[in-house]
Amino acid sequence: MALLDIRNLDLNIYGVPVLRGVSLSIAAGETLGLVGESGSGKSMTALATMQLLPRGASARGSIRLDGEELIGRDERAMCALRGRDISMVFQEPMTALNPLKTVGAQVSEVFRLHLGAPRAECDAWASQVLERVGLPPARYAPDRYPHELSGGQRQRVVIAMAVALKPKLLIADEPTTALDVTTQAQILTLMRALVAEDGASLLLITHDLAVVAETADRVAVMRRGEVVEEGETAAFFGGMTHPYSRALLEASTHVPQRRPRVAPGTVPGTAPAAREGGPILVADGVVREYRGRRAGWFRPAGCHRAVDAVTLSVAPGESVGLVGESGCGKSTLARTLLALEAPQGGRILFRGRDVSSLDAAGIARLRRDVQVVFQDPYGSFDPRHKAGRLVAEPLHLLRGEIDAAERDRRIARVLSDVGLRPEDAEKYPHEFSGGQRQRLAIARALITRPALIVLDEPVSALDVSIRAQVLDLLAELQARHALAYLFISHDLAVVRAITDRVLVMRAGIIVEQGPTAAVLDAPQHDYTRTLVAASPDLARALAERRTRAMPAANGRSADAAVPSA
Amino acid sequence: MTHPADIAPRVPRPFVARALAHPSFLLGGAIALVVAAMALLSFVWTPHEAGAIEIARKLRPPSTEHWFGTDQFGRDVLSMIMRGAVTSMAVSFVAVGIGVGLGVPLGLLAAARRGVLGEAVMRANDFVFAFPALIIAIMLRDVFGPGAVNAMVAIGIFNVPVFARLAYGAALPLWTREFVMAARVAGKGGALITLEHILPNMLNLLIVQATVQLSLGILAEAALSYVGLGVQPPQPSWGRMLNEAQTLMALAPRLALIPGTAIVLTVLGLNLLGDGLRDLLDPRLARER
Repeated sequence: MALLDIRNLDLNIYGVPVLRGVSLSIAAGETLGLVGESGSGKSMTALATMQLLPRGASARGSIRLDGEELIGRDERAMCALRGRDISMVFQEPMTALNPLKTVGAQVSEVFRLHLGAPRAECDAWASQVLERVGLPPARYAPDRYPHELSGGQRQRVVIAMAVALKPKLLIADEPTTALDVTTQAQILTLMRALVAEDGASLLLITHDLAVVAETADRVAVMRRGEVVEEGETAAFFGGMTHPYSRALLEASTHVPQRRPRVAPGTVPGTAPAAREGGPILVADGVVREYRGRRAGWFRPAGCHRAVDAVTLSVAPGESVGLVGESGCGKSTLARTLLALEAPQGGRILFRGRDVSSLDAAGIARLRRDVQVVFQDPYGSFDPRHKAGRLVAEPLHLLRGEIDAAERDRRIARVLSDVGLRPEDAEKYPHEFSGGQRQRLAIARALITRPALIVLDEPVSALDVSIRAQVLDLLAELQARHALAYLFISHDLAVVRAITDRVLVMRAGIIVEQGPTAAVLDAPQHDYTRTLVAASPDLARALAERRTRAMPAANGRSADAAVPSA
Repeated sequence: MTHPADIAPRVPRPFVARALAHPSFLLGGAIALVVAAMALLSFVWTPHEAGAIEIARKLRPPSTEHWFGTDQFGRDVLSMIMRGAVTSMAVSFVAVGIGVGLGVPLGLLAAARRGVLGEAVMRANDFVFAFPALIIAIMLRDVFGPGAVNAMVAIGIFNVPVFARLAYGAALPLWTREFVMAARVAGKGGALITLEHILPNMLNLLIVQATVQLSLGILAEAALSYVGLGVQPPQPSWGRMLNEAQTLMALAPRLALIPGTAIVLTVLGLNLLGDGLRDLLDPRLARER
């Protein structure tokens, strides 16, 4: 019998259907990967299982754990169950932990609440659990507060709380989405090990098919509140039948069609700047420092060097990638290159001229030629302005040169360039979806007909299928307008798909650079190697799964079920 | 062209519909409207001439002729309350005007030009903030003598750092937002960005704060007039009515209770209105309701 058996679960929130006839089951010791895009109902399924639904929710159907019905069970009974039989790991470890309590106390609390044991005993158990998740108390004192730990360490604490009582079912809702790739790999390894040791079942919710391929025994795909396909992992990837699953797989591994670079000057009327020779933008030993808090009255403040002697150049029509983990200085470098912040050392050259020596007209020229697209499709627009006005904002740089009619023509043109309609100019940003907003952001960057666009994590906040569409759009625009891109991302797959050259950045320093394929296929620097190895890769995960399955064919039931894979 | 996976987000309910369903906004708005209507009406009509002394009918209890009775000089209390509403509103409106007019630009300037100038502006604000309105009024009286204008200026000066801090605090995070970055990349300067992006996005906060400061202004005007620093006789004022009623507390408590109730109701109304506006204008709450 299945450990968790969800049958025909319908969920309405204030009358709006969120889940429709969801049926899932997880056997004891099995890992089910629940995949889907945002809003597909993955998290709601998990919350329904925990009976932690938001206000206004009403669930019908059946959720059985070990044969016992959970729907309609009273809150007190659920409290005893939560943490002991079912527990949950959340996406954002900072908000999942209480900032005012030490991590040791928070883990210890799980034991006290459920077992009512004396404090000293609970503390001792807590130390053991922290040791299990790779935070041995000898090295990581349990009397630290969450803010004193790194993101990965915090997630380990959350996991420690979840596995403290060896629950039968562990639910992990996007447990690694907020983490860097190298940390993600460690956390996934840890979770796999813990679940295997305890013989627990794992419901792993994620949007990343590669993560599922690495970890799950079975996969279920959700879309708009329904499970559209379900199957054993290898078989699922081998022969998915539902068109949505296929679309999801296609989008996850999507490589946009990039036409060969347009020879400068062959497309009349586009990007006249591209015809001028020489790089558009050069950073020459750029240093960017932030001053820390002063240590005392007479001691000078310490410095944090966010960007350390970085040298790079972007030529017309070229696509340069900049990869690195969060906090490595990528975005700071981008702001410095955009002349939004002044460097403390080194020079930035725009078409051969030092940016710090440019007058107002020179800066305006720079802004016309170098535009930007930011990561957050929600934060990059003033919510009070209509799309047309937002998109036309950079035309401020051309004031006096173009009249209102030309302005309107350009708005209509860039909107259709990015796949929106000219009528969309009359809408407000909140009327667009995330993907459409990112198209708007690209339209805004295009309107001055720049030579270079700095793209700061432009697809990181998007679902895979929309990400694929936006990448296609970027590739197409680059070919059509002979654009150069500086593409900043933490996602190696995306960088591989869209760039010619790549620079790998770590702690403010460029550790390796070269042609994208060469760097990512045969990394020279240790850090690049770690990064490449840690990045989830669907093809690699499936290959590993096949080799693992062969000797272990008579081992775990889930693997044995598909000798044909 | 639409994209299949793009689902349009829910549109929040219109402002008017939400406003009409919000109890504290409705109650507060109604009280504020009544007080405002009373003040306006007093310009064209009061039951009796406000402030007209007629010793013969002093200390009459409430009757059909004098709804709230008369005071020790035979003045009609209702007429005084109506005229007093004008004083209260005028003083606190002008005071909020001074606070917004000086404080908001200072705060915006400090946020746009951080560093030495911003620090100087904000520390100067801290300095002013250290003096309560009462102290400022006493200082002003020593220089210019007491009067309604001085009360307005004193409360206004007190309001300046309140609005400066609010504007500064609201502008700082806005300056780091991506849409402001985008505006800078579009070549716009500090002044233009402040006008186009920063100020409009903090308008909600300013409106709410202005409502709250309005009620504090009414309270402050009453307090200043009570201690004799505000409006001078014969101009009616709720605060001074309280003061004059003090010696008659045992004889005619209503003379203190009526202006006291007027102050409490008006302040309560404006605070409810401010609370309601904050709920209605805060977009995060707007989706919930």
